[in-house]
Amino acid sequence: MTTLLNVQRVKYQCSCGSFKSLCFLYFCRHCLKIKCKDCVTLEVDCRFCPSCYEHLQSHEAITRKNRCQNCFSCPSCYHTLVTRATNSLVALPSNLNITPENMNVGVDADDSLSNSTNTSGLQTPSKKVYYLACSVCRWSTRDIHLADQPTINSWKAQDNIHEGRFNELLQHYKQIATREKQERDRKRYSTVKLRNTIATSTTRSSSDKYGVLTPLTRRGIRTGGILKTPSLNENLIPANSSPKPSDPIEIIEPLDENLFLSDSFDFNKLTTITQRLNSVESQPLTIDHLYPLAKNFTSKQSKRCKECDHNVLKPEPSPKLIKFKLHQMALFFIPEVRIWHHPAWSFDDNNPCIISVINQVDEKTLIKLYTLDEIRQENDENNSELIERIGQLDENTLTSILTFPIEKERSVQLHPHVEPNDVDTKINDELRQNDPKDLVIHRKFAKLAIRCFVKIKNSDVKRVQAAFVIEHRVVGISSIVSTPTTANSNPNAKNIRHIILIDFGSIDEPALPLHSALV
Amino acid sequence: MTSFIDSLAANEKTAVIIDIGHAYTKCGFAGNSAPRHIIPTTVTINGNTQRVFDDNSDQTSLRERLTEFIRLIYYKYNIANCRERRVVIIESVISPTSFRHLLAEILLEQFEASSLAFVPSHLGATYTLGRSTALVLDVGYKEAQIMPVAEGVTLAVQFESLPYAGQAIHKQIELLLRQHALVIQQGQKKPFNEANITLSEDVLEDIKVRCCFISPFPRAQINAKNKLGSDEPIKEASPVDYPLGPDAIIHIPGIVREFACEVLFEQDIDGKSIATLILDSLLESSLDLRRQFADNILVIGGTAMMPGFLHRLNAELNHLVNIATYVNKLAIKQFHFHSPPANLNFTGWLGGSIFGSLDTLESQSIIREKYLENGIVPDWFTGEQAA
Repeated sequence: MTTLLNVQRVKYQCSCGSFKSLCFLYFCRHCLKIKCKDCVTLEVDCRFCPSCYEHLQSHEAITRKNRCQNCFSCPSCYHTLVTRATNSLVALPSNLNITPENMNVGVDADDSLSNSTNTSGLQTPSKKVYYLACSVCRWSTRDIHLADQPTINSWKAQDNIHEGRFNELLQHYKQIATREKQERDRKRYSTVKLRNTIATSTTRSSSDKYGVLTPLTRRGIRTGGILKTPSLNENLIPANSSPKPSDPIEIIEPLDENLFLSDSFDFNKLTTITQRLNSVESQPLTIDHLYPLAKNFTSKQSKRCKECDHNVLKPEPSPKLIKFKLHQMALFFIPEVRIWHHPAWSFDDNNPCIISVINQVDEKTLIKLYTLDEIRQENDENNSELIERIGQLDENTLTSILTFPIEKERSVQLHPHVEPNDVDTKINDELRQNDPKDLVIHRKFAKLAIRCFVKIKNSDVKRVQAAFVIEHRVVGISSIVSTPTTANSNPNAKNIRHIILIDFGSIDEPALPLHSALV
Repeated sequence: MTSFIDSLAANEKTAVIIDIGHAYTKCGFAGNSAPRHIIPTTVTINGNTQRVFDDNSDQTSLRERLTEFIRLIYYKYNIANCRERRVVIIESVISPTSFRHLLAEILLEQFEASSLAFVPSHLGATYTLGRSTALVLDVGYKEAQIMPVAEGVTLAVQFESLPYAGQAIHKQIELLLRQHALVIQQGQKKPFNEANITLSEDVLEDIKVRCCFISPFPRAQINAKNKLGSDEPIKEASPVDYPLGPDAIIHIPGIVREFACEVLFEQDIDGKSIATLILDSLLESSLDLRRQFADNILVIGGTAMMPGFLHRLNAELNHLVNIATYVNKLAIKQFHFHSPPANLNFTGWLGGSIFGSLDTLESQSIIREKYLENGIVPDWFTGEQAA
């Protein structure tokens, strides 16, 4: 059982053709197909702060740029910052108690004022103020000389100094775009030929002003020179709409020699690249410009089958609940296959191996096993898709051939996956009676050990990999949307087949010890 | 103004803007003044973290990594549903066709984006200036790329690139450390070479970011002369003791800190450097545009954020125009630079952000239905119209 955690050893084929471990797969009960992460679409269900679990509606979260207003990360080591309360120094409450008129007086006046209140400081009751500190690296908002706050979590996000200029530009380009759109519409509906030609020339000139051109028009411009075509729209739109284009820098900032060339240079004063990139807007160079980072939201996602648009996974929409509303992992529907035993490999003869099959459904299941060749020979119409898939399998992956001891009708019953009681033991014994003895060598409730033989194709093989097909019955969810795909009388129950690819490991791996139950 | 931005951002279907760089990827929403995140272009698959653009990897594994990476951008960083969303990709004009196709396939087919637009990063950067003519130099991780943009038209014929950027600095740091640095291991000092240390890219980057700077022009000149044997005194920058893990300290001498970045400005065997890149580009331009380009130079890219970069570049340019190679060819003696309303490493992204919030985005994009129908990703050389 050394392969218990090596889930990558046994892979199931997803409906898209890729092979993945069972625990990474979903099962759509409407299409009755295995779905992998590439065959489902994700949908953000709820956004929440990973620190305080505040749960916001999507539009609200988007407005807040997916950032929490109350929780902050340390800009230095990225852990969560803790709010610390302290009794304010004498100077601080006085600052806070300033009336609005005094605020306007200026800093100097403030100082004198605080001094004056200092003398009468006894009257002001000590007041709680708050600051943020990191419990891991000891960074605090006091390190960057941020004043303590009178209320919890009243920290403001840092403003982007370029915001204004950016909006100006954005407005400008938007106007051009709207104009272009109008012109295009006009061109579309006009019937006069002459007007048409004017419109073409204007669209061209306005679109080049604003950028990415379609290759054809670009070509036209290249041949016609880059001279701007005089256009109508220049006259129509007043000039005041366009912002001042940026001015060249007058004085280029030289290297800060005091910082980099001085003898007291300390590289610990400079921020690391991650610290910089975490505050995208400011990207501070030195550590005294670090600023608390607002926590980014995280999200729970539901997953939808791309084929039929039904959910295969839907979590509860509250961040505090870890349950699922709908949870269709392939693991719950499809028998799980594991490697129990393989011998030291030999090239010449059939290597007897033991694989286990575990029923995951809480009802009795009949499984059938096929080798790939048997499926290929079966010329059934229902099977054509599977045969095609087998044909597509890379011969380089399938380095060995897997066969079973008995020739045909390899069907075995699997006990339900439930806590066994006395009755179950009886059923278990009954089932054991009916087992084909060559195939099934051990049975314990929902678990079966099956003997198979692996023949390695040639002596160049480095990894022993073989595949077989398993067939079992699943009960799907019937719905009006899903079309009944079988001729079966019961449309929501169907026998389905999966290709299972087993990677027995590299050729020189020693034999896996036999499980104690089998010795 | 902020409320205006908010109203924009609140739209569920705001376009997603992604600028995938070799080292770092910028991602965010259209109409924002900064990307939401700048993240390393790496993914973790089966427990090991690897770069998305690994030099020696085939198309299938690139597809796997890229898919995973885009999923990460959508759901971890941007927290946005991918369905029916417009996407703007900022790309270099020389990004391989195979990569564009791969990206289009992943975004349009797998992530069901409703439309996809490619914006050349150089062009995008000019939007942020409000100017339509500029000479744009992008110094990123892998390459320094220059391309003029005239009246909103990218002059791709004049595209030029040199492999002198972030990666080259990393290599140079390692080289110089091998020559000059000392390592203190268990209290013993020994030369770097004997210490048997290999520095990861991350450590090199950290040394670059926190220790290195770009030497001012006069000092660099003296240093270059000293290399050739003259012996002018120069006060070296102070050394730094850089801790490497729990039991080793690298003693980085000032010479490494100061001159590792010289690789950008030293002329190589063909006489090329970042400064000549600009001058050569000017020489190639038509006469009536040269003046305009020289007055409107825009330098973008993360490496251009190195302390002292622009100042040095300007000094180099002023020096080079007066030496033999250029003095008779180029009448321009003055250069003017622009500073975009953004940090240099996401200027290209910002252009995409403007572009993505316009009404005309749809007409400039590859529409999903169209793509699924004929599978064509329009490019420079295809006559197919984008819309």
